[in-house]
Amino acid sequence: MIDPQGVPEVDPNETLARFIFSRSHIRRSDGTIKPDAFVPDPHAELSVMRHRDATESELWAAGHAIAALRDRQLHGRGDVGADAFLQRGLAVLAAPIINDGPPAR
Amino acid sequence: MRLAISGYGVSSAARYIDATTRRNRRHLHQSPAFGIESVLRDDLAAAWAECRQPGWDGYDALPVWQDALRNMYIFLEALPLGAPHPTIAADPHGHFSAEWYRGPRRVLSVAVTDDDLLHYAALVGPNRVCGTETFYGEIPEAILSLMRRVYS
Repeated sequence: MIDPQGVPEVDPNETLARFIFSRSHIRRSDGTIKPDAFVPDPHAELSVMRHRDATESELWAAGHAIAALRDRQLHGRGDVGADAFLQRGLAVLAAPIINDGPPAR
Repeated sequence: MRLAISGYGVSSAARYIDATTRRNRRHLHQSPAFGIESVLRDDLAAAWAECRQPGWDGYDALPVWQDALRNMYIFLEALPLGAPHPTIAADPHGHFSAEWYRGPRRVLSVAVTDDDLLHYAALVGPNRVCGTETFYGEIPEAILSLMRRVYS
C-alpha cells in the first residue's frame, strides 16, 4: 500500500479512471461515454482514480465502493491517459483521499 | 434567398404570430413521423428524474432546476421538424445537454443553460468547433449548420 505521505506525482503516461454514476452519460447506441461525464464539477476540478498497479478487479471494486458510499449505481468507467489533460494545459495533481474508517451510513 | 424569421417581435400582432407558430409546431412535434415527443417523454423525463438531487453524478453536481428543464423543452420544440433526435444528458452545472452522435468524429453537443445561452461543441471529421449563442426561441444557424455537417 502506498504511503499517504509519499504519493508520487502523476506521470503523463499514467491511465486515469473516471467512474460513471449517471446512466445518461453513457451512449446507448455504442456504450461510449458522453463528454458531460468529464465536465468538471462546479469547483472546476475533476475527480479521477489512478490506475497505477491496480488490477481490473481492484479498479471495479473501488468504483463499486464509491458508488455504495455515495448511494449511487456504477454504470461504467472511462479510462483516459493523463497526457490527454496535460496536452490541453490542465494540471493533473495527485490528491489522495485518505479513508479514516468505515463509510458513514 | 432564404428568409430568416425571428420570433422576437414586440407588437401584439408579433406575439400572436409567435404563439401561434409555437402552438402549431408543438402540434406537429406530436406526430410520430415528424415530432420529438418521444424524446421529450423518454430521455428528458429520465434525465430530469435522475438529476434533480445534488450530487446526482456521484460527485458534486448541482441539481437540475425546473428552469433548465423548461429551457430544454423549448429548445427541443424549436428543432426543425424531421430533425434527427438528440439524446439528453445533464452536466454538473445543472444544465441539460442535447447530443447528436454518429461516431467519434461526428458529434454535436449543445448545453442549454437557464440564462438563455446555448454552449455548443462539435467534432466533424478533423475539425473541432465550439461556441456560444443566445437562444431567442429559434435554433441558431450556427448550430443547425453543425447538425447538417454531423449528418452529411
